[in-house]
Amino acid sequence: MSSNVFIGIASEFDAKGFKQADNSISVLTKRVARFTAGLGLAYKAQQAVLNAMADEKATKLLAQNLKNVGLAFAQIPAENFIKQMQRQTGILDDELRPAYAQLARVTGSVTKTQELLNSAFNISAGTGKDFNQVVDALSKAYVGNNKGLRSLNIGLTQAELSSKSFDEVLTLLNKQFAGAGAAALDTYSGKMQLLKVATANASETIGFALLDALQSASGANGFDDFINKINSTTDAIARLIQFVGRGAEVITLTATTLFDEKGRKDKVSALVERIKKEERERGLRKILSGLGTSIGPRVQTAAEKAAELAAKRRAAEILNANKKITAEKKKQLELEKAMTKGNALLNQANALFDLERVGVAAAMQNQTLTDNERKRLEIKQAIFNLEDALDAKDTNRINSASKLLGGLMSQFAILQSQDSLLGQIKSAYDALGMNKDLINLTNLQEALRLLQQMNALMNGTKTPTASNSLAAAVNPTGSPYVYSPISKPYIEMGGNAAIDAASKIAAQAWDDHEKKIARTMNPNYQPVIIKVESKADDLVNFIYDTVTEQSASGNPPIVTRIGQNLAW
Amino acid sequence: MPVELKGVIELRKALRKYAPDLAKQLNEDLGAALKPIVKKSRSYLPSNDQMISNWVGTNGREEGRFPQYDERIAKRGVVYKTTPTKRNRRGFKNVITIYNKTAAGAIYETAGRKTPTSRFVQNINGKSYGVMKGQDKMRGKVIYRAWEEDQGKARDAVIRAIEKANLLFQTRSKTV
Repeated sequence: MSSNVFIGIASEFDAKGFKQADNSISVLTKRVARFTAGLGLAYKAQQAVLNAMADEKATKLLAQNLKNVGLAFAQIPAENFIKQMQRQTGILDDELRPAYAQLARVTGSVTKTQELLNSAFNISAGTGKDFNQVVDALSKAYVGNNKGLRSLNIGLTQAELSSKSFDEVLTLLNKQFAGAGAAALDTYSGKMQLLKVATANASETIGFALLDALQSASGANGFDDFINKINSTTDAIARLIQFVGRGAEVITLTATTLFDEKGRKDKVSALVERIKKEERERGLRKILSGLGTSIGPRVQTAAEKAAELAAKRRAAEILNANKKITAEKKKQLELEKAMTKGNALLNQANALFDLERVGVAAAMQNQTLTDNERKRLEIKQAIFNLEDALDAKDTNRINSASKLLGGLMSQFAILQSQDSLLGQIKSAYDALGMNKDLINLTNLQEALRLLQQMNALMNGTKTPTASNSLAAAVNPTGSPYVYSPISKPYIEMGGNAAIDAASKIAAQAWDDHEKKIARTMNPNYQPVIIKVESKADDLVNFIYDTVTEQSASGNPPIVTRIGQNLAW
Repeated sequence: MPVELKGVIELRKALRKYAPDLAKQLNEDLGAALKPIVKKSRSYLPSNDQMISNWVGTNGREEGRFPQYDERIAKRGVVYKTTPTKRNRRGFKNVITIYNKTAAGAIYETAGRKTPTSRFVQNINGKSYGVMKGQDKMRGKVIYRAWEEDQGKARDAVIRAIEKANLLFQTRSKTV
């Protein structure tokens, strides 16, 4: 059928295929079971072998690294230290070996390396940072680069790090984080970490399968007990395997040399000798592994002594180099300071010859400036001062200059608003169409004076004369009524209204004079120039008197406005 | 659900071998029972005029393209079969079957069963609305509809025919 659309009306069951399928499945199941069982075992064994191979490779790498820095003699102590530290700290030897190699390269000393590793463990536990990160920071700090230590945020300031030597910093760190590692291991996660290390070691030696059997058969009480049992059992079983292997070797040997007595004896004795030698080495290794930094210093060999001396010399060189760098940095700072000061003075001196500034200063001398213009110039000067303060990077000067400039700007703003207000008043007057003369003060004063004059005339009294003080002020020579167009001072009056008033006054005075005295021409005619200025009734009266007197001497008064002559 | 029978295939083998006339008679009886269903099913297939124009054609699936509908081909594809089919995954063989041989016919049969609101279904129904009858996977517009409307009469006729042939054969065997 080419489609799935069908109706089956009658069907019949055929079990033939199912029987075949059943047989196939059972056969397959058995094969799979055998395969997976073998696979599991092979996998476990393979994994254990892989772990062991990786461990061996790491050991050789460390040995090479130590040899490169002249510490080849320290390979066995290094391995023992690493194994011990691994068991005590829960850090895998996969991490410890590279860290050891790194510190050995940097310090050149076995003792220092081990000390730094112990410190790194405590610092790592105390700060929560990764162990390798801490080792990296310490190795960099040993040669003067404190960046790594700063990144750990260990509570030391930049100044402290720069000013102290590495040993001082290390002492401080050891004090800060003493016991942190042990405290971290005394937790559940710490115990798990120790267990992980122990199982990893076991995997490297005898494989996971045996470890499971140990776990169930050990009857351990708690993690510590189990870990100890793993460690002790691992060693024991490793030896057992060795002996078993040795036993097989003996059996094989016996079988092959069954009919060769001499050969058998030689080979057996050779085997025995080999076993004895290996036992001695094992015993020696056990003794060596029992030793470590926690028990006490060993007797140093000549090579070790030489290495320690070299390491000390290197540390001293690094310290001297750091001191030199610090001194140079200090010199550089002083130079920069002096340059800054010199530049500031230079800028100040140059400011004296700055044309713009000179121009502003000169403009300030002008007495004819309006308030607005004067304020603008003051602001400009304040701007110059602020620029100088910024160049000098003097905080106090900057603050004071800024304050002054701000004040001037505020005042200028007020002036601007006042001008604006006056402009508004003017425009209001213009809009109203009023005669501005009505509100002119001068006009008001003139009107008042005229009223007084009229009153005086009506009453037959003389209009008041100018006060002596004013006369004295305008005529320091003491002769109040004699003026010359050449000599000073003039009485200056401004405004058309004032001029008009003075003109009227002068006219009035002349009329009076004409009426009283016949006019005679004076060959030394020198006209009196009266410059009319607004304000002050006294001045108006004084003009009247002055004109009268001058008229008596035959000099007709000339009333002028400032800059103009209104000839009489 | 098809009726499970036992020994039908062996019976027919035996009939073909030992009683060909009974085998022939059985075939005729089966045909008589199934032909009305097939005829009715064919009548439910729309003509080309009643089908959407862009689907009408003579291309089958075997040409690698979407199969086109043609009235004659679709009707010729509705057939019955009295030979056993291949064993399905549950181990059953269908002895008597009515099925839709063509792809286009099968498409029309089940169009709208899962997506009644699709454009294709709406267009087809707009042209000629086909009533869908049956239950679950035996629900359709052509053979399933005819089967549902038959209400088991054809099935009963088939079983009677087989039983009759069996009875006659048994009788003849005993006699001989």
